[in-house]
Amino acid sequence: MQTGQAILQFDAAVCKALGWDGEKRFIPVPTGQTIRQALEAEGIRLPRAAIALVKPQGASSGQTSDLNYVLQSSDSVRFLFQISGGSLS
Amino acid sequence: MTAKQQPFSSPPNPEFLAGQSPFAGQVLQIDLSSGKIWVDKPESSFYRKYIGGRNFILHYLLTEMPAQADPLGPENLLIFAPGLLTGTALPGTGRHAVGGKSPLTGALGSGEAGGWWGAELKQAGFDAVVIHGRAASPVYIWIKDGVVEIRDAAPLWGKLTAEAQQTIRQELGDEKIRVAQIGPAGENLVRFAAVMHDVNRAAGRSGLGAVMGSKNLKAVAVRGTTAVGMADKSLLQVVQKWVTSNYKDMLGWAIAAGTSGSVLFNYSAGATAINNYRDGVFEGIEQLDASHFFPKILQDRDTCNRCPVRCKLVVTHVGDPTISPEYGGPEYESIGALGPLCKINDPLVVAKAIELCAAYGLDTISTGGTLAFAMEATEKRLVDGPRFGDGDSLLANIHQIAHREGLGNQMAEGSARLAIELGGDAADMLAVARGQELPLHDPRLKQTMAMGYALSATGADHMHNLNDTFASFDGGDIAARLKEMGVPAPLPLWGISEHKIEGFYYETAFKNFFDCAVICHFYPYEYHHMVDALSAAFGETITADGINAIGLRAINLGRLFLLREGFTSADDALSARTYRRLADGPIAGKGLTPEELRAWLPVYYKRMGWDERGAPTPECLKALDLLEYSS
Repeated sequence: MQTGQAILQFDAAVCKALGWDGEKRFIPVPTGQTIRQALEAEGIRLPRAAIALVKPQGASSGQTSDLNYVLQSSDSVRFLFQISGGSLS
Repeated sequence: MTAKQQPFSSPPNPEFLAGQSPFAGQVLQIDLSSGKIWVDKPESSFYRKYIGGRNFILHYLLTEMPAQADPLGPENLLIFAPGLLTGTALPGTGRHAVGGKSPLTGALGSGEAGGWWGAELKQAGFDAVVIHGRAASPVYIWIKDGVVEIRDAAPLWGKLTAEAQQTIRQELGDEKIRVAQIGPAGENLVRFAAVMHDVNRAAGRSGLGAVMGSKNLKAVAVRGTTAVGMADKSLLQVVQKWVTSNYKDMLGWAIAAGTSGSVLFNYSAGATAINNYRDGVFEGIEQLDASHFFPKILQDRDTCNRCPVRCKLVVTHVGDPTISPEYGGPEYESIGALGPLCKINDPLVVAKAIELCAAYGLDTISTGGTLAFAMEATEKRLVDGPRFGDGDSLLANIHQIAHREGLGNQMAEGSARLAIELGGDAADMLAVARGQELPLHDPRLKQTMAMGYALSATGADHMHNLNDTFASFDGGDIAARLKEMGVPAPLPLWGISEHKIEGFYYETAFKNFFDCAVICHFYPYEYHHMVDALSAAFGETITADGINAIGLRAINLGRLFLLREGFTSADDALSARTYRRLADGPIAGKGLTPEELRAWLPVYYKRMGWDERGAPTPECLKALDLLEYSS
């Protein structure tokens, strides 16, 4: 990973929900912006994902974050899809 | 078995019989001390004001139960209350409420159950059943199409729930009879005993099974054949059609795996408490997710009255352990409480534990919470009791709780009373609100829900609450409802704020409305759907403000009940363990402080129209037409 980049990680279930091929997808994005802004810049709408697990480089596990988290260099971001509750999306 | 007395008979009103009203127009009252049976015939305005469920329960508790009554004494009431929409054709309405004064908390006892029992009671011609007194010996109540009798239950006493249900059906000669009952836990007055319906649907929380046991009441069996109608069926069909067209998309998660499919999501987000709230990481959690255990034990799917989703699991296992399919299957809350909270990651052990809770009639959440507390006490050598991660110990101790054997006799009092008995620093290990064990929605992640735990008249409850994670994504039903009320949505994930309290105000009103109607919380109904449903029921236009008023009545009546029973604003609090910061996992370092929680309470009181002591003001009660309850 280059300095000044974070990685958005899309698991198989997320890829499937987005209509993408493949098991996983990794998209590098600039830091200094929120997760929400990064998704918007990439044209990605995740209707059931409001929670992300942000894992700084070297950390043993991710931390629960909302989409307003400001990305730091070397962050790896995994999205969690809401399960249970109703969705109109 | 012989009848104790001549059956009592009271037909419902003509509009109900003609299919033009969802209300039978009568509330059944039974005094088990005297054997007297009678009915109330409330005015139509009563139904419009309260609509059923929790509001009915609170109305009768405030008007017919003396203040400070012993929850396990004959003066307490046990109330079964379907709602306005129970038994109608609207999906998600196969539910009813059960209530009384809680023997676990001394506060409001209120639980809702799915299945078929509530609809059957309505079809039998009664809008609710209020039970007074205490029978001299074990009895059960038999209700069929407006006819009621009290019958001897001595041969049923001590039976597991499935056996008791089958015996009742055989005795009365009808396999379609629906049975609400207690198991041995309720008979033994375990303070978190559940009222079980159809064997596997629990009105689980707050110990109402012990209230039933204290009345020597084993079961209430019902059979009804009158279809529940509507004033305007075509208007209800608009909402029905919306559900039919969209439920596979909206409730796809429930169709896929029920709540058991949310285990990994909840764990990953940090919602699932581990090791009595001390750990943030749990090895083997994936084994407890539906994706892992379905191939091992899933046999079938089941559903509730008028619900196409079929989210209910039916599981079975032959061998060690043997698991019977009649007791249902693992749900998220039960998995969390009897799994990670107790450091158990074997799905067969967890499924067996859940089966035992259904057979004995125990609330799985409080059972798991109390066991986890006792496990930590064992670790600290305060007791010689159950051990973390030991499946055999878990199962043996569930049996001991239900039968009050050994340490089970103390655990049957709940974790808060056990902590008092142990003394010293034991209270530091407690995760409760008003003495009720927390659901598996960690207050360190869901911080506005934490405030809801502290404020609820029932003690910790996740259902009539605001779920911070669900409210924080756009496109969901919570965000849609908040937008209808003019609240910017979605809400921020973290913390408490004036913005989130505004969301909490409306969402708790709506969820309390759901528990009056009584509707499954999984259905993503918005205000306009409920406006149509209520308008169809009454044959006159009901507004969104009217829906909020119904929910706000439940919250305010609950508050009046708390204050009458001696609670104060100082009791709007959480116990020590819920504030402990985790060192690892997804919510490491997160959480409220007691001071932060206390600082937000006056903001909520003010929003509700309560005074600085958290008491509803006369103006607030007048606005909701509740002045009659003002002391």
